[in-house]
Amino acid sequence: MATLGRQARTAGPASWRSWLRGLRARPAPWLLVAPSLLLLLVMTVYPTLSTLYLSLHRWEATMIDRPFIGFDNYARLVSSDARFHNALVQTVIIVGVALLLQVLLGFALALLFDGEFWAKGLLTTLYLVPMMISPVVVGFTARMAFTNQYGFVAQIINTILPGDTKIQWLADPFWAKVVVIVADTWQWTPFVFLVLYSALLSLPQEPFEAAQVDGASYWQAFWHITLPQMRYALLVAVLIRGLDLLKLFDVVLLSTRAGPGTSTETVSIYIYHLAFRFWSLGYAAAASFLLLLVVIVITSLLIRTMGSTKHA
Amino acid sequence: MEAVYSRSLARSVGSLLLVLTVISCGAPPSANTPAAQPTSSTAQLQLTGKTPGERAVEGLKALNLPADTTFTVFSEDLTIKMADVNIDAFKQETGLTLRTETAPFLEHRTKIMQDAINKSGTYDLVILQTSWMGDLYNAGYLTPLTEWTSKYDPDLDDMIAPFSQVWSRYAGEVYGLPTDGDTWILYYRKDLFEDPKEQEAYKATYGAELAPPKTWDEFNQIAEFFTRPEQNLYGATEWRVKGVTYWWFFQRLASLGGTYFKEGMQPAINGPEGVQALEDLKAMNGHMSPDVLSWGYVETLKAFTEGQAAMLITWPAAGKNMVDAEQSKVVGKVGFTTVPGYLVAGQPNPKTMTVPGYSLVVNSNTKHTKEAAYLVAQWLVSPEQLKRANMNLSGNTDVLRESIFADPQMRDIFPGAAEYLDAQKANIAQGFPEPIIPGYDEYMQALEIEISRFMTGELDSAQEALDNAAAGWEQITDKYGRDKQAELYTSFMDSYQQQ
Amino acid sequence: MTSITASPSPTRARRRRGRRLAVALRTLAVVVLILLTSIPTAWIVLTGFKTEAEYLSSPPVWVPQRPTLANYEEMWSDGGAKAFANSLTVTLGGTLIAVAGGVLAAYSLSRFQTGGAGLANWILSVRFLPPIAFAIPLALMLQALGLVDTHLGLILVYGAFNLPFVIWTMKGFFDEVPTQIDESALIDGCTSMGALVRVVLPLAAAGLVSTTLLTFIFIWSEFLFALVLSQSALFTIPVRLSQYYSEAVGLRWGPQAALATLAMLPMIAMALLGQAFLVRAMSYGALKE
Repeated sequence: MATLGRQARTAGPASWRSWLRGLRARPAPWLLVAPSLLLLLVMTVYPTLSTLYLSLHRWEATMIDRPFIGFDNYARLVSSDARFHNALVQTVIIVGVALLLQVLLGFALALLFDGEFWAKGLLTTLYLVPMMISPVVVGFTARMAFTNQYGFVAQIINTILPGDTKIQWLADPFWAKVVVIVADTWQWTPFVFLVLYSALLSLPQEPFEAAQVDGASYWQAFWHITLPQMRYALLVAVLIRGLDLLKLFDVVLLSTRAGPGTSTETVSIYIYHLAFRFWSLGYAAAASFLLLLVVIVITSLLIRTMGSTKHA
Repeated sequence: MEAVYSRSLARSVGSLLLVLTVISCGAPPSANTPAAQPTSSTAQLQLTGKTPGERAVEGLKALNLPADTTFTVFSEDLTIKMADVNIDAFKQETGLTLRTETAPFLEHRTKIMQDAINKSGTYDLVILQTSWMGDLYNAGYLTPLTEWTSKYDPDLDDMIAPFSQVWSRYAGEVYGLPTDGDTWILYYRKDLFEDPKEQEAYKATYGAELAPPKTWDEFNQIAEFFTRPEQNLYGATEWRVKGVTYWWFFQRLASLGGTYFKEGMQPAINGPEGVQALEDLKAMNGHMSPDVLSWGYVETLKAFTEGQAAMLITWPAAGKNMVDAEQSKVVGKVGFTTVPGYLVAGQPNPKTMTVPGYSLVVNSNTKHTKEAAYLVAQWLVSPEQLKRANMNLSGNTDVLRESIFADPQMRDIFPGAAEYLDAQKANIAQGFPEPIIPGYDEYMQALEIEISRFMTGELDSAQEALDNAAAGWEQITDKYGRDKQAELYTSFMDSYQQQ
Repeated sequence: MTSITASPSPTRARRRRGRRLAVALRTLAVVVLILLTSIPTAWIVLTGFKTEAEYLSSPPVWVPQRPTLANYEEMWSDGGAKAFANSLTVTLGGTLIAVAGGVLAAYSLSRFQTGGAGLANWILSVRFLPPIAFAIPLALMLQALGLVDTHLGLILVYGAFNLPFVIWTMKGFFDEVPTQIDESALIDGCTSMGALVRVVLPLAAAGLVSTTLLTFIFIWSEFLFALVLSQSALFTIPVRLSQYYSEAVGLRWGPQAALATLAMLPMIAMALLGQAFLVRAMSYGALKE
């Protein structure tokens, strides 16, 4: 019969033997985990190894032999694939600007909601609605909204602009990025808001009040007391949102179709193009593996952050 | 970095995964070998049908297929209509079922390649862009049809050249049955051109008669003349969205005497002709709606039918579609003529981009006997079925057979239809082809990206855009093998010149 | 566990007569915010009922003058029904696997620290990995197993990729149920499983509900895997929506908006119903209220 009890937290089994011993002594916990673990291993670890394997070969749908070519794919990506470099640049620009915008807005809104107002529960949940919508819908809504002849946002802005000028939202390399950033920000600022808002709620209020009683203004107290305590939440929000932004695919594909040219072609879209339009699977696998490495590094950072500063 | 993976976990599973990896990673696909077909039931068949359709039906009947046999035809959502309109007739004539599957135009190739990779035989017949045949041949997707074209005679000679011989073949065998006579037509607003006030104003400004342009200079002049934003009228409208703009580029390039490749598969697109063609293409944007950079076929057609453009160069399908559109304001006001050209050595050298259009191919993984699938294809391109498709005003299947070009019903189908059909034939006669070689789609996409970047101002220099594309082309050529590509390209261009 | 409404009001020093004004102003600000950010959603819902002349009119028409159900009819018969059925099947299946497997694993991780921090962290990390990196090998793998374009294939993929979220979130909820509860159940004669099902789970029921709802919403909205792992039979709603961008059909925004509305509204309704525990669930247990 399985026994319960909190064991000392270990960073990992110290040796084969003690791990095996532990396994034999208490099979039940591992049985509970087994189905999930198996599914995860098959669906994630195996594909990762497969990607690595593919990336070391020349695999084209329209060519018969698939020879081993070592790191040639990687070399080509890093040194001579201008379109890949461009995808990296576009991704960094879009991620950077969107992240900044979402953190600023999310924080401002968290402060706004951190007070008393009517129908608080209902209104807060209503604000979270954009997160429940498929990014596909958000994408084509943005496309509709910014189409010059029929779009509701384009119309409003064109009315405001002087003279006859019209912004070519979907056909201008700069404004297309704006469209994507606006769409993503509309959808995911509520998430940042949620993380920061819950953190705000859990902060002890006494230091804040004490400072204000001592004569500090709201902003001084905010800057010196609240903000430092929000560091952890901010970091978590930035890292999680940043990781999600690196994957940007649905919204871009449905709004600007990665155009015009390649000005909104993110890394995910370029890889999709390589893999499922041109079927250069070896080359695409190399690109995805590079993306994977970047993500793993950032994810480790996130996990370390979450692990090191645990709130109660 | 923290140990993200439990060490022993990874170890114990590693060997299992290694085994799995070795097993399922990429066995090369089988080469394109024609499978032995059971022809015993049709070997002795004496065909009496007078049309390809009748012969196809005879063949199908002789194969004694079960009554619930269903054939699946796949294409993108405009072209698939040519099969849709024939579903009932197929049932009536053969007792078997025809069904269709479709996908958006820009997903067309992806879906076909998916089917090729998965080898699942989801589609029995596919109507695809003939220029993809090289790639699909290499992917093992195609079935050679020569055996059955000899036996059942789809009457390819009735099809207008070059569709009849050049574009049904690859590597010496027939692999596809052409389904539409693709080319382009210059559509113009006859009512505007024939309006005496406009003619006077034009003569006063430019000192020449207002008539459908024969040269690109005339075209630009007329476009400038008719560009009146305050009236919401522009001189022209044309595809400019990222997608297939390269076709409009090649049209001009060819007219200047340029082509795709030089000796040894060196790209020939980034010479002075290429630069001029691309710059002129962009300059034309000045006479089009500012929104044109996000417009494709549907949007440019809509602009023309709304009366917002005086000229439009696009597919023959538009001629039918613009009559059919309920809101079309230009019914009966449209003229049809050939695409203009540049002056070369003092003479106009007009070239119309004549893409090989679409062909019906038989999926090598089809679950039916290949002969049966072939017969369905032959039936679909026989005159009766093609006529039904051609007469469908909302479809995009262009007339292909001489017999239908001459058919009185077809020539009467909308006001101006006779002129329209003649213009189509004339454009095919001055056509510039697309080569059918492996990697064709990759070459074109590499070029399209650069053209799109130049159009939207991301790149300032046409030379730079074309040089980038040429560099990409060299990489692609090396990937597929320079000599092999050169051989296929030259033999294709030669066969096109000869017919 | 507390819901958003029950949080204690902030205790900034406030003068009483300014307080009611502050509350009113804040409410106004929030309402304006909600109205503005609801515009795109409202637009989509309204567009579903407009005629083609109305949704393709310049300048844009906001409220349909002659609301029509034509878009819904067209959408439903032109693949909408099938997309809905596929989405429902695949989402229910995926959610079932993710939640069933995830709850068991979460219990194990919570009570026994199975696999230590290493396993737990690895599971969490999977959540952040880019799907495109898996799309390629999964496409090949499913093809080898004959599962491309089948419900089962997509269900397994969705189940797998949503396990991390379920495991981490439920682990957080389980961690809040004191182990004494398990122990007294065991003393009373339950097995571990029994303790889980009969005692611990009911206490974490609210968390289970919100986790299940969110998993459902995630799978329902997923696009990339559905796009890549399907051929012709298996299109889900997001995939069907992406097919409306086509040269042939042009700008059929009406039916597209109709399908989007049909897909959105149930999700929004469920989210509103399960709003009580969204905070915890959505921040991956990283933060508690």
